Amino acid sequence: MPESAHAQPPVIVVGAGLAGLTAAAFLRRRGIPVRVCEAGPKIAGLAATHVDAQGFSYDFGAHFITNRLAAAIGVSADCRPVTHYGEMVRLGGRTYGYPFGLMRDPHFLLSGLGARVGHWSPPPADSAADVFRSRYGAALADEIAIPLLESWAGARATDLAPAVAGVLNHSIGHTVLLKINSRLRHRAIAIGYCHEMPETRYVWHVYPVGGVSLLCKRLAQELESCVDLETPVDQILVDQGRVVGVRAKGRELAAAAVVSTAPVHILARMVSGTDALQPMARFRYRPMVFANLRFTGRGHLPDTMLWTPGAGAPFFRLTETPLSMPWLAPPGHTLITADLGCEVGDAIWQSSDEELGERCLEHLDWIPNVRARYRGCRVVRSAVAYPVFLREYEADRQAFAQSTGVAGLYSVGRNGEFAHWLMEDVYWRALSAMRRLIRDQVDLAA
Amino acid sequence: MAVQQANPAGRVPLTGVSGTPVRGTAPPDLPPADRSNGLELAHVACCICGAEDCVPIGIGEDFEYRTSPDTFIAMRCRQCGLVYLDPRPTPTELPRIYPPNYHAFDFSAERFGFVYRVRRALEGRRALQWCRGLPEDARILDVGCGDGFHLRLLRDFGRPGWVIEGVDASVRAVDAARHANLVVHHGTVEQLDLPPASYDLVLLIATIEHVDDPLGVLRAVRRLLRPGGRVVIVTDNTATLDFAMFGGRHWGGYHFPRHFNLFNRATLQQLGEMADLEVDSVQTVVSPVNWVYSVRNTLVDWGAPPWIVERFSLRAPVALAVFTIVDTAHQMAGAGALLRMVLRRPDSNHA
Repeated sequence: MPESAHAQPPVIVVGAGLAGLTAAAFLRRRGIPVRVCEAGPKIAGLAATHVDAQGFSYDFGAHFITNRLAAAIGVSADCRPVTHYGEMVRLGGRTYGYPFGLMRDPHFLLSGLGARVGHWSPPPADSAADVFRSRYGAALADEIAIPLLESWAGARATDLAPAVAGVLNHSIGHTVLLKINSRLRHRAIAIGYCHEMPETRYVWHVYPVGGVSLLCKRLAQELESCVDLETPVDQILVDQGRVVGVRAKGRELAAAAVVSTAPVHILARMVSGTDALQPMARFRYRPMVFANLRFTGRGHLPDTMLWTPGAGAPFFRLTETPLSMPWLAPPGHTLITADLGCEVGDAIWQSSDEELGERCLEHLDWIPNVRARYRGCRVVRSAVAYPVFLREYEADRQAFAQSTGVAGLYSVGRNGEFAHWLMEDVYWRALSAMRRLIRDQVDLAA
Repeated sequence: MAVQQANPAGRVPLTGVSGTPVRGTAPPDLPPADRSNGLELAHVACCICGAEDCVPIGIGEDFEYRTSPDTFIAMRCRQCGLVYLDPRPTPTELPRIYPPNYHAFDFSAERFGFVYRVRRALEGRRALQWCRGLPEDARILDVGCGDGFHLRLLRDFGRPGWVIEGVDASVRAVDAARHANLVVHHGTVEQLDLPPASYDLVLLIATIEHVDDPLGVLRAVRRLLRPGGRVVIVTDNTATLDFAMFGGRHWGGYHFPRHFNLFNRATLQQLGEMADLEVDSVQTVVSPVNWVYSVRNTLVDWGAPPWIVERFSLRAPVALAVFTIVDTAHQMAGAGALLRMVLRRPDSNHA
């Protein structure tokens, strides 16, 4: 490598999605040489958007970002505000507002109240099922939370670690205040969206013109000549517990450090020269198929997002994104995204677009004239949509959340961290990780 | 309240990147320059401690002049507590974010009437306080002088022997000041070739918060001062009730996107010490302006009718009077809306 023979080797970033580009841009601002290796032909990763000839936009699932993230990256002028966002639950043919509308049903109200009373001394939780039952009460847990979790994760709630239930970072009172503000301001204030930074009434959802990939494009502008596309990293080379370089396209490249955004089970296989990451090879991600059904008309769902627990449908969630972001479908049309959990290679995964559209329609017969309005389906597949927190590797997961166990190796991003972070979290957390990287490098030099 | 734009050393703009490219090819799908109408923005580190370790505390817009459709973030440095705009407009955007109707370009009796006369009387007294002890032939420089409001005060109320000059980076401000027969240098204090060690007093009144590199400006100012010469800095205070109440979005002191750095007592003092100046005093000063503009920004953001919004401005004597009383109460508790720091170039002539 003559070009870096007498220079400090760069930090190599594996993957040019939001996390990788955020990390690389931050390092470059600090004057640290970086190089981004992206396996695919394009930047943006999970943040990519496809727009078809008719004007329908397809993301990997419904994407919402915030005005705070847009402003931090410098794309706020190219974002449109989202004026409304709401969730509902469809259960036994009835729809309920989420979360407070469920309390209309005395059965759920008692369940919720009972749980609040018992919440002061919750029993020890061994699994996600335990957490949900103690937090929401048996009825809400068994009829809503647990069925949703199970179709989402593809595993029994009793086999999932308590951590999957996350931490409630806001009180009911605060949520009500944000919802009132949302109504008054005509802005979709972000509730339960960002865990890294405080929720305030001034942080609301926006959507970039042309899709969320705009965030990545803006970051890539800071990385001109540092991004190598179609350059898959085959191996991360570790010597005596420290990263020394990578092998890509058959060549070895020296690296001061490596920042990976790869799914952790893949990262574990990429690393050579240490067994430190072997426990992570069995971490599982839930594959997901997003069936985007096109319809004429709009407002077929009662609100933007509709949870559909345990109804025997292949999907557990429906999202009519144009109710929040009208520009995602051409005028007079709408798009309903059905999220279907699956396994790679199973019947759902292999279904054609038409078959899957048909399968979803069978369970949407409560929408008036649904077949007459149907205009086809486009499917987006992700083999690594959500990390699955199985109890069997929970201890390893917690250790990995602290450190990769290899000096100079950092794992960032939603897949890289093996965590349920949303886009704004991914951004702030990637920055924190890079501050840590710089501190570690300084310590190393000293 | 005008522009004294410092050299943006060490900054990497979002386009036209400098730095250390390693190797490789540019991504093929970089967007064309198709930004709707947004400003060109660049990321910065904390100007006090150099860290890039900050948390977003305020999110807002240019509520006052609507010079761009951007949303801006006020960050607070986790290391030192400085509040700063990041990302912020690049120097090429200055003509846009300081529009022709910017108030500091024309703070005149014709435009501001009664408020102008009151402010002139109050500020005249303050200005003479800063000048106490100056010799008959003192040389005074107002950095970021705008249309020359303070220069006129010194000329009209000061000693006849004083030599009074101003500096401003805005052509419009300089034109306005020269129109009033004032001596004003066009440029920045770092770039201009002003005589070193020759000024007795330098004023930075509502200027330091506007510049990209406050330390660079203070170091340049230090070179211009005679040994023993003084600098007076007046700037917005972030350790106040109005900041605590409105800091999430509408605080007048943010003045999005024109206030790049906002200080409290500690960070301002640190800045002075970093410039190798001795701190004579740091005090807070009464001002209704941030209060008035915090209320105004809230009203604008909520779409209040113009006749209500106009009750809260630099031309609204009632609101200014009410909030002067409010801020006087805070001043008694040591938390007035503005900070005033007096610095001195050490007598011993080192560096």
